[in-house]
Amino acid sequence: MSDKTAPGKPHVGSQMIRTDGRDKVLGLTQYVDDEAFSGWHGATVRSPVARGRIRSIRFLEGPDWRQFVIVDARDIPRFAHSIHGADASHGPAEAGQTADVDLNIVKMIVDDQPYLVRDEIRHKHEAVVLLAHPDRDLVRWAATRVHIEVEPLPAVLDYRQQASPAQIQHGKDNIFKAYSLRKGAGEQEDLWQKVLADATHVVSGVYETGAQEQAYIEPQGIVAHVELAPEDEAHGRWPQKPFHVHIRGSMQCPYYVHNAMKHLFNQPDDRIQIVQTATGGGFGGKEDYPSIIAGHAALLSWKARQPVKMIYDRVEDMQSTTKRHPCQTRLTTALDAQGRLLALEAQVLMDGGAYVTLSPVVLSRGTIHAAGPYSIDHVRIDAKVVLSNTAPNGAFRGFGAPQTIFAMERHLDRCAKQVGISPAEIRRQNLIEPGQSLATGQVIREPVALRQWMQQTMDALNYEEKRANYKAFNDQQLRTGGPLRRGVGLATFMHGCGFTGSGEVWLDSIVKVRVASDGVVEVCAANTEMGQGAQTVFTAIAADALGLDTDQIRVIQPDTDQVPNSGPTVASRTSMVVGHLVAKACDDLVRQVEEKGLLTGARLLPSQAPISEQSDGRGRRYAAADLQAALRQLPGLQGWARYQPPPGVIWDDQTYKGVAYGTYGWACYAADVQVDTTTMEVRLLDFVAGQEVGRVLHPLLAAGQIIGGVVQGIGWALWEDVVLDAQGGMANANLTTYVLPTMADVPEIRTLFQEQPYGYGPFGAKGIGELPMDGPAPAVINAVAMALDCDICSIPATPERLLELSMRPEGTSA
Amino acid sequence: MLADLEVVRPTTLAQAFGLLSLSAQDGEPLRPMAGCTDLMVDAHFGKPMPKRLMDLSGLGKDLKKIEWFPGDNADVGLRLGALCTYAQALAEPILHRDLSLLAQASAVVGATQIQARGTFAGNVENASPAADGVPALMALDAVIVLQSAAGQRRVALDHYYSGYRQTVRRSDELIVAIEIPSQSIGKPGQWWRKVGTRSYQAITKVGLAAVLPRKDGQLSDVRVVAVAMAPSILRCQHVEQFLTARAQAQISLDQLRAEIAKDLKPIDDIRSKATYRAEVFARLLEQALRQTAP
Repeated sequence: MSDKTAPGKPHVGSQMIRTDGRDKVLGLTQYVDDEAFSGWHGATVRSPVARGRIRSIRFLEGPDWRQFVIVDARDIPRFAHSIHGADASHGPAEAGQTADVDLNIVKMIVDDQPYLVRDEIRHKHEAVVLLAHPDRDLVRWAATRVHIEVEPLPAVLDYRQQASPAQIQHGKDNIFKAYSLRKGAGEQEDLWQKVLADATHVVSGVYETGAQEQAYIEPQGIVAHVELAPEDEAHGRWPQKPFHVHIRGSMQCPYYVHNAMKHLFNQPDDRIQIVQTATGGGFGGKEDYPSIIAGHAALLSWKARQPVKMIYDRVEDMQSTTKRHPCQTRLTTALDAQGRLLALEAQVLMDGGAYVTLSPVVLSRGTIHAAGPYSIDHVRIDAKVVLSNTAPNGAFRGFGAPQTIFAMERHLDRCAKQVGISPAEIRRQNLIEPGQSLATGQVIREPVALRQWMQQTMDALNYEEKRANYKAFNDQQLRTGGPLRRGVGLATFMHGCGFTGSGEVWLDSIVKVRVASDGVVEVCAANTEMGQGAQTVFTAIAADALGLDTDQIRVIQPDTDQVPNSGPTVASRTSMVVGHLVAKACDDLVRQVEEKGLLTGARLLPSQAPISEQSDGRGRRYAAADLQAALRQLPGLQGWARYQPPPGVIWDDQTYKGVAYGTYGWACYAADVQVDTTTMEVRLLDFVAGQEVGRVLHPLLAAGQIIGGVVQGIGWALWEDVVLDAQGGMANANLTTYVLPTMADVPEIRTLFQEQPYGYGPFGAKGIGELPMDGPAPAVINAVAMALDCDICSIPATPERLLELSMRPEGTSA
Repeated sequence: MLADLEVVRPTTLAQAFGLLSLSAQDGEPLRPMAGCTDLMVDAHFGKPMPKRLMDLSGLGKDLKKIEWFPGDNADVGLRLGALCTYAQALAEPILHRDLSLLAQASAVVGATQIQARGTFAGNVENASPAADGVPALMALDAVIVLQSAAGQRRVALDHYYSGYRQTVRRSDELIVAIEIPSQSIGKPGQWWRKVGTRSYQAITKVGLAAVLPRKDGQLSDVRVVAVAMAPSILRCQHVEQFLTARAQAQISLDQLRAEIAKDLKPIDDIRSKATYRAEVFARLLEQALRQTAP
C-alpha cells in the first residue's frame, strides 16, 4: 500500500492509508482523558435498587464535604416556558408563574428520563447525586460515601411477564411503543385463517436474544465548561444572565448532545458548543448516552464555576449505559409442500429498560426486518417494546434488526427440517427477486441476485460438501463415543441503509465544504470518526469529487460552532447519505469557481452531470493544478449540499407500508463449527461473510467493518451474557466475567463483496456499518443446531445452556 | 488509594524474614507480593487491599532459581524458587518432557503478559479456587517450603489450604520454594484440562488435573485434583480411592458422577452453574481415563 494513489487515479476504491491512522498507530491521538485539562473531576452517586422512592440522602463521615460541589435534582429548575432558540435573558419560573418546562429531562424522543432522579428511582445505577472535586481519586471515593435510603416499589425485572397494576410506570400498560404491519391476507382474519388451513406445513417457534454490551475500548468521557456571565459567577443559584456551555468528549452525534444541552440549560443554539474528541469506538453506545454524561458534567461545571471532567471507568460504564434490547420473537409460518412461505406471523416483544430513550426507533427497525429478504404474500407483524426496571436499552449496531433476523433465520432452518428440504433449498425457494415485494409492500427495483450471491458464499465455505461430510462425521463420532460434532449454518438477510422511511427528510442533513486560507478544501460535517474510517472515506470522496489529491482535503473535527448538522453517525448512513452530500457540496464548490471564470484550463470531462452522480469515481472536470490555482484565489468560498430524498421513497408511519429504505445491503453468511460435547464449547472452524453493499469505497476499511461486525455477532451468539442481579443491575459489569471473544476464539473471517452501484450514494456506495451484525448469530447457531441435532432457539448459547438443552428429555425445546 | 500503602523492599532473605516477623508482632503483617497479577486486579476493582506490602523483587538472586534438589532414594526433585514465573518454567525442556501437566497449565495462564509476571508461589498463596498453577502442582504432589526467622518447614500442597482463600502460612513466614518430588517427575498418566470462559484471558469454570498411572492394567497411585469445584483447589479423596486398583473397563460415567458428588459440591456463580460444573467434571475425568489408558 502506498500513501498516495498515482496522480489522476481515483481514491475511491483504493487502499489509501487512513487519514487518522498514523497518529493512532503512534499513540499520538489525544482522547478526551488525554487532553490537557485544568479543572475539577466529577463522579456520580447511583441508586442501589431497581425501583423506589428516595427517603433520604446521607453524606457519611470521611470526606470533608465542604470541599465538594454537590448537585442533585433540586438544583435544576423548572421554567415558565422553553426559549428554544429565542432570547435567553430570563431566569427560572417565578413564584406564581406556571412552570411547565422541566429542564431535568434528557431530550430525546419522549420526555420521561431525568438527568438526576427527582424522587422515584426507575433502575439500579441511576444517577441521583453528582459530586465534583479537584482530586479525581478523592471524588470517586467520596461517591462511595453517600448513602441513599430508599422505600422500595414493585419493579419489573422480567420484561416477558405481564406487569401487575403496582408495576405500571408508563401509560396504562408499560408499553413504550407498538407497531402493526399487515400484508395481503394479514389484513383480514378469515382470509388469514384460510391461508393457514390450506398450507401443507405450519411451523411455530419462540426465539429469544439477550442484551449485549457495546464494549467500545474508550469508556464514556466528557469535559464540560459552563461559562457564566460575571454577575452569575458569584452566586450559587441557577444563572440569570445568558451563558455558554462548552462540551468536549467522546460521542457519535454532536448535534444530539447539542439539542440535549439546549434543553437542559434553556439556551439558544449559538450558546451551546459541542466538540467531538477522538472517539475510541461507539457501536451505538455513544449515540444517546453522551447527552447524559455531558449534562452531568455541565451541571457540575455550572455549580463549581470550573471546567469539570467526567470519565467513567469500565464498571460504571457497563452498569449504567445502554445495552442491546433483549427480545422475544414468536413466529408462525405457513408453507406449501415445496417449502414456499405462504404466510408469516411475528409477535415481537422488546425490553426497553426503564426509560423510552431510542426504543421506538429500535423496535421500528426490528419490525421492518422481521420478515427477512423473502417474498411472502401474507404477513402480519405485531411488535411492542415495554418497560422494565433495568438501565435503559438503546442503540447498538443493527438497532433491533439482529434480534428479529435471528428469529427468522433460525425459524427457517426449523421449517426446512419439517418440510424435508435443506436450509439452502428453503432459502432458494423464498429469496426475493426484483419486482417482488417485502413485508412492507416495498417492491424491489434493484437488480438483486440473492440466490446467486448465496451460492457464492456457500461455495466459498464449501458448504454442501461439508454438510454431507459432517453428517457422516457426526454419525461416526456417535458410534465410536467420540466427543466432537460438526455443523454448517447459513443466514440470508438484508439491512436497510440510512434512517427509516421519512427519517432522512426529517433529519434534513446539510454538509458544507469551504476553502481554507491555504487553498485546502475543508469538509465540514457533523459525522464522527470513531474507528470505522469515516474521515478517510470523506477525504477520498471529496478528493475524487474535486479531482484533487488527498493532501488538498481536510476533514475538520466535528464542532457545532464549525460544522452544519449533517445528522447523527448511526444507521449505516454516514458513507452513503452524508458521503453523497460531501460529493454534492464539492460539485457546488466547483460550480461556483466555474461561475467566477477562474478555471481557464480545459474541461476534462465533457459531461454536465454532477460528479456526485458518477458511480466510478473517475470524474474530474479540471486538471488538479487548474482547480488548485483557482481555489487559492478564493479562500472562504463555500459549497453546500442539503439532503434530497431519492424519488419514490414514500413511507406511511401509520400503516407501516411503503418504501422503508431507499436501498438495502444484502448478505449471505455461512458458519462452520465444531462442538466438543464433553464441555459443550463451540469452536468456529470457518466463517464466510458475503454481501452486496453497492460500490466499495475502501476495500480494507469495508472488510474491517464486516470482520468486526461478524466477531461482535459471534460474541452475541455464543458468549456475551448480560447477567442481572436481584435489583436488575448488571452483575458482570467488567470484561473478566462479561466474556467478549478474543482473536483466539474466532477464525479468519473471510469476506466477499458484490458491488452494484447505488444511484443515490457517493460513487455508488451503500451503507455497510450494521449489516455484518445481523447474520453471524443465526449462521453460527444454525451450524451448532446441525452439529448437536437439537433445537436451539435462544442466545447466548453458552456451554451451560447447550448442556442443559442436550440433557433435556426429547421433544422439549429452549 | 496507592498513596496510603506502605511498601518495603528487602534485598536479602534475612532482611525479609526480619521484616515479616516484626510486622507479625505488630499485628499488621506485611503481605508479600511478587508478580502482582492478582493484587493489581483487586486494587483496580476497589477490593480491600492490604495496607502493608513486601515487594520481593529484590530477592531474585535467592528466589528466582529453578534447580534440582536431592530427593528420597538419592533421586532428585525439582525446586521452583518462589519468584519463578510461568514463562521462566516454560523455557525449561524438562517441563515439557516430564511434567507435561505443569507445562500445559502454565501455557494457558491468562496470556503472555500474565505468564511473564505471574509466579507459581503467588498463585499458591492467592488461594483462588480457580487457580491455574495450583492444580497441576497439587497433582504432582508438590510441597510448599515455608521459611521464617524461626526456621523452615515443608507443607504438602494438598494440606496447604484451610478454607476459602485461607492458607496455613503464618504471617511471619514466606514461601521460598515449591518442590516437586522425584517420584512425580516423568510419572505416567498426566492429564490436564481447563474449561475457561474463552480460549485465553479466561478464568477456569471447571478444570481437572490428574495423574492416572496404570500398574498391571489397574489404576494405582492416582491423583485427581478439581478446579473451581470447591472452596479451594481440592484432591478428590473418594474418587481416588474408587479408582485405585480398578481397571478401565470397570468404571462407568454414572459411578464417576456418584463418587464426585461425595467429594465436591460445586456452586452457581457469575461464571458458571453447579450442574454444568458437576457434569463436565465427570466427563473430563472419563475422558482423562480414556486418553491416559496405555
